[in-house]
Amino acid sequence: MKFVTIGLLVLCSLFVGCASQRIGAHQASIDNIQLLRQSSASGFAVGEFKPAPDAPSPADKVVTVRGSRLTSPSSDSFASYLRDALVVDLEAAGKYDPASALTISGQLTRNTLNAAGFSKADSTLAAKFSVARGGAIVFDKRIEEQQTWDSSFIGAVAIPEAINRYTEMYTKLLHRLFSDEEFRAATGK
Amino acid sequence: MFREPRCIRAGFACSFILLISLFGSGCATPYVDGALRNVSPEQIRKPSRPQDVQLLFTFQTKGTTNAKVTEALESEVTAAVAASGIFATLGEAPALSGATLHIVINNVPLDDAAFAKGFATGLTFGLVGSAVTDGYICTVDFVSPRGVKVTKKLRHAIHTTMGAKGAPANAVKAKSLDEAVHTMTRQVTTAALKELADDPVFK
Repeated sequence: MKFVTIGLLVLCSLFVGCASQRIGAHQASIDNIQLLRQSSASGFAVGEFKPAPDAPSPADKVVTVRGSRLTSPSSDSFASYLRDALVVDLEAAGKYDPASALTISGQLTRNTLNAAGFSKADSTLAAKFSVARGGAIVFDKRIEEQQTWDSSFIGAVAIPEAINRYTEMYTKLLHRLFSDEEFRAATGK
Repeated sequence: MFREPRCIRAGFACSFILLISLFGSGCATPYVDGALRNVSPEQIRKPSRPQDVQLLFTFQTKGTTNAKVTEALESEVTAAVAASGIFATLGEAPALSGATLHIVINNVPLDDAAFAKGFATGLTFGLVGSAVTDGYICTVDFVSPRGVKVTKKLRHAIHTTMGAKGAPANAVKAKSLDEAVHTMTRQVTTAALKELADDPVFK
């Protein structure tokens, strides 16, 4: 019995980081910039981003990958991280205008990272985006991004891969928003 | 009852070896590959009328954006582009000229057994040496003010030896992995910019 316990302890030391770290800052994506530049809207303001009222509260504060806790560098909130990511993409595309009549707001409705499996890992990120034009809502839609990738039994391989994949989810979710036909129609001139 | 003490002793022995192998094998030596010709900024042809450009940089690991490393290397890439003298001004915001320069460095492991090799080296206290090579593909996409797109792609590599393993041929030893990564980034970016500057779009 003790042998099993010792073996488990050794395995824990090998495969569990038990660390907490902030994910990296969002980087502007060339694909998102090109999509935004195609928009006929001259600019967007960005309003409030918060976790949806019915979403589980820890999902806005932390996601875990094999015992490692990932947190957001934006006010310890992944909803705020999504807002900051949106601002970065808009700025890089020359479409950020805090005085614009078009304001994008959002609620984080789903935020999961599952890399416990030895061969597969997945993540889901979803948000309800709304766009107001002069105070009237012209777009209100839940948009979701799901990714599955090959993972590894080895934590030293699986954890960094999961962190990179998870961080990239924000770029992909915003890409879905910017390429959404209803969004483009609602925000066009 | 009789076998339990032997099991415990065996368990302790295994634990000791595994933990030592984890913590005692930190003698990794990085080398920057020497196949890529080292280009100095002075060797880059300067355009007669340099224009401003929007610079975007992304570091990827196996094709996935690695935000932490992107942050760490952004200043190195920006400095290399500025030193090249191809552009008048650089910035993350859209340039007045409309030109964009997108640089992606993608880290592609050339050896999938890297972890197993390192583990074996640690387990034998370095007696069984090993070497792994990381490949880097630098892709430079330039879109001119007229919308003409030019792409240049170059490859570089960092070799890392562990334990009793000799230095790889045609490689320059680095003081640390951090120095090796910064050197690789500067060299591959500068070499790609030289190819870009030689493209007819800059004439």
